[in-house]
Amino acid sequence: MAMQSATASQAAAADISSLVRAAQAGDQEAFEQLYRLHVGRINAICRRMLGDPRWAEDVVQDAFVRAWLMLAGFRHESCFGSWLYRLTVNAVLLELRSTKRRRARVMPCEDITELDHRQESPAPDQALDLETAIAGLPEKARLVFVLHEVEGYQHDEIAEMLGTAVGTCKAQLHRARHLLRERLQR
Amino acid sequence: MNSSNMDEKLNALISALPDAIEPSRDLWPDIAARIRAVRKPAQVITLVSAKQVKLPATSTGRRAGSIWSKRPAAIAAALFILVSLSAALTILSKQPGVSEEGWTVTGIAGAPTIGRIGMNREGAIGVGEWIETDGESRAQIEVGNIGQVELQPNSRVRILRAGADEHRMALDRGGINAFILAPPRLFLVETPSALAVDLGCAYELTVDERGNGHLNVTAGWVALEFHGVQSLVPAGAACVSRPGSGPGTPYFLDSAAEFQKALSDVDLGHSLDASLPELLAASRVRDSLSLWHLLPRVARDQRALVWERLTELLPAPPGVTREAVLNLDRPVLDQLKEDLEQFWF
Repeated sequence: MAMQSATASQAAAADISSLVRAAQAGDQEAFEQLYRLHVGRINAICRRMLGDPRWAEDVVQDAFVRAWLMLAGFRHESCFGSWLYRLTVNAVLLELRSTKRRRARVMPCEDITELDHRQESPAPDQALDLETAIAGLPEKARLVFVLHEVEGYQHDEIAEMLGTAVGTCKAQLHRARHLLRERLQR
Repeated sequence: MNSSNMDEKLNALISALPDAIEPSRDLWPDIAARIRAVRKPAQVITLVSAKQVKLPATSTGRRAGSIWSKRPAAIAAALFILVSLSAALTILSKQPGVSEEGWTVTGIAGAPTIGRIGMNREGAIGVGEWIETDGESRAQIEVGNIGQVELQPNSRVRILRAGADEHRMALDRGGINAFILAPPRLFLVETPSALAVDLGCAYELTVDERGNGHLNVTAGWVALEFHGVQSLVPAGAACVSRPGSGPGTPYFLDSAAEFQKALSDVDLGHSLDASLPELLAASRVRDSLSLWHLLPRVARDQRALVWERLTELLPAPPGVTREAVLNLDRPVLDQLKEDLEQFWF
């Protein structure tokens, strides 16, 4: 059974690899299949990092367009999915950076405690809606939480991506977990 | 519920998060429309060498061209010479101790050369190699998977590093247009007068015949650095760097002509007593970008004048005091910058 599963995953990887090669040669249908295979995962990353489903869908589009343009640079040395996820994370960080000031006019304070109280609390369901709670986190705490706890990046990788210190990342993660635990207790 | 239980519950909820969340609608039609509007992804083709020379096949399966079909010894000799020459030039053009990774290059116009060898429309450039354009040619370099650099005519760049953690090139002369989608400090360009550090952006960088650098940022931020001096240049702003003195003071391109003239004089140290008051008088709120950069670059007396003008333009944020600014207290200067940044976009 395990052998069958391994064989199936090898076949899937080979399929993806051939789709990538076809897309690199300009085959849009192959790229559409790659899109269909990965869009859910890419949308999940964008949505959790941005905390806004509609905004996330805009960035998903940007990420796939960017992936199409950069496909020539993909050299099959790593998994296509990992390459695409990393490219997406970069796209989200750039989007956040370029729109930071525009959004700051709507939400001019980044103090975590203040923000937390200003955010609309999710409905006090018996089961915590973790997605909603993550979306309600302050931006930096949310980014670190999603990248570390959900996407599995290490603190040093996150620090490099965000241009901040490893200690700051750890502190943001601590705050994010603290805020989520508080919400959990309500 | 105690803290430990809370943590366990939180971890369980995190583990239960779905890997994928489908978008609310099919995004493919929009994506397809956008990618139809751009070119197909460039093929990854290595620099054409003699080993890859193939002549078109004729209908009989023989290679076209009389000398090639009639004189196999001449073919072998010519290929041997070309291969040897190609290998020798490649070795000569590389730095010791560099990796073999490289980037894809596409010729946009004319005949760019890589390591003194003319390239076909598409090629690859490795670490340590130079790419040059003449007055008629332009080329586009795919910088790993983080963006693109367009090489302007009469330019020369060398790839210094092409690793996942750093993409570095040297711009010896001419100009580049860079569009980078990456975390800060992943893409760097060395020039004779400063190091341009990408902070997630699009920009034009040129180097003139005297080695002066001219940076014009169109999106995001770029930092220019030289021996501890740093200029942060946001979209819509420009900065000049000079060999030996590094980056000058950044300024917005829409600032008044008299402001830009006075700033150039201040940067060059020309009649500072006259040029600084002129600069301050011509400054607007948005020019606080330049004023903030000037604070650590002028003497304390002049710094007091800059501070006064800043506080005329905008009230100082809480915690930012005159004394701390005049003493160049780093956290206070950073706090001031954070406050001023909102007017720089």
